[in-house]
Amino acid sequence: MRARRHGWYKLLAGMIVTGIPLLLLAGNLQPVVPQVPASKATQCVEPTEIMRRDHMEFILHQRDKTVHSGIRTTKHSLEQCINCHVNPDENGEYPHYALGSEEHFCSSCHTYAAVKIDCFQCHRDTPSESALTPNAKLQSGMGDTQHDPGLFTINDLKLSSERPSAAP
Amino acid sequence: MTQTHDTNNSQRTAVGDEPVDASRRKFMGVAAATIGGLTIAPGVILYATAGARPVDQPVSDTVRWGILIDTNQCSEGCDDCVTACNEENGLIGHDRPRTDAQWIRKLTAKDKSTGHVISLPMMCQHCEHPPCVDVCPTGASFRRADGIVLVDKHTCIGCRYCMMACPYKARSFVHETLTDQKAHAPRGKGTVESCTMCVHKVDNGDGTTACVDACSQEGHNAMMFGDLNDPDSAISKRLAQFGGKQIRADLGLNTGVRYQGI
Repeated sequence: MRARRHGWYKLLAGMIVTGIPLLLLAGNLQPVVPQVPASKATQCVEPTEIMRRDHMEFILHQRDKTVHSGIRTTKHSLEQCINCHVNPDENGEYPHYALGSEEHFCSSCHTYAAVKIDCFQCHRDTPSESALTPNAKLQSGMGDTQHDPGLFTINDLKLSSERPSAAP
Repeated sequence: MTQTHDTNNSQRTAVGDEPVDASRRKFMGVAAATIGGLTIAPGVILYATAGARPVDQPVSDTVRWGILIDTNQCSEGCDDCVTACNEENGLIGHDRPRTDAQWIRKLTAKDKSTGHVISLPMMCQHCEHPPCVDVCPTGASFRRADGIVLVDKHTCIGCRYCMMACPYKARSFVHETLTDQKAHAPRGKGTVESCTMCVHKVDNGDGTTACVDACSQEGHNAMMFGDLNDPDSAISKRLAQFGGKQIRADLGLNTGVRYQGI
């Protein structure tokens, strides 16, 4: 009995010794959030909260429309995501998702969330050549220009943010 | 010139029928373009011409895209079409000719009895009944409504059945990890690919392909792109006047690529 009681005291002492510094630290701790690079435009094609949770739904929906039906509206196309969101560093070098750069817009979150995407095994992970020419409309910032209307709106998709199971 | 064009016969069997069909088609084209223009949001200018497909409308089988190749104009040793295709679609070789991607290639054939040499470009023939689509286990290989045969690389598992099924050896398999692809031509390791008839240019309304463009720029004019369903298109008129053969017509695939002078 004595030995067992001693063990209990030791456990309590251990919890206090390790717990107090953790409690002190917790007061200063901020949640770890990925550092997302800024985009060219001031506004995305959908509200940020929707895009954060459901961007994959938009891209997936657009993908089949483009490949099978030849519909090449730009609003929800992966190409336009990249054109707007992937920017060069101070040396003019573009980050590559395919090469594991954490500076790339997509990998900044996907590395954090440990979600491996294979989009860039086939798709270009830097802005298209046409988007880099001086006359490209993207240079003025897509948020300032009109998008094409796109094929569908957020109401047309079953978004995970609207599903009860996925709600925060 | 004994070849018949199965899909086109209904449109141009009799000369007397043509004006009716043509005028109706023109009207429908204008009507469709007008409706398309109205549905575009304010601020977006749509330069729609009669018959052009609005950007947010799916492709339809009212058109069938095809290429006509005049082998008499195609010079031996010229590979401008191949170079243009590689440039347009970002095909980069690895000095391994047996496995490097090749969407279009030049063939030379010699008639031993006469010594006559034929040179021609060979690529995906965009069949109406494509064997590659028949054998594909995942549905990745498919034929678009407007006749263009493509690979949906999102569903391609790289089994390469289609490469074996194709009588024209038109398809390639990507063996290497790729970066810096063209934005309009996504392609990657582990998938099969072939001539897309420059589908991005077609959808853009360019009315030409990289190979046809290069051929006419060099002044050879051996290739012509157009709508096989439209009896008024240049390609249909030329086919009606001079005919055009299918390679391996015995297979009954009704190819979208036709040849003259073979």
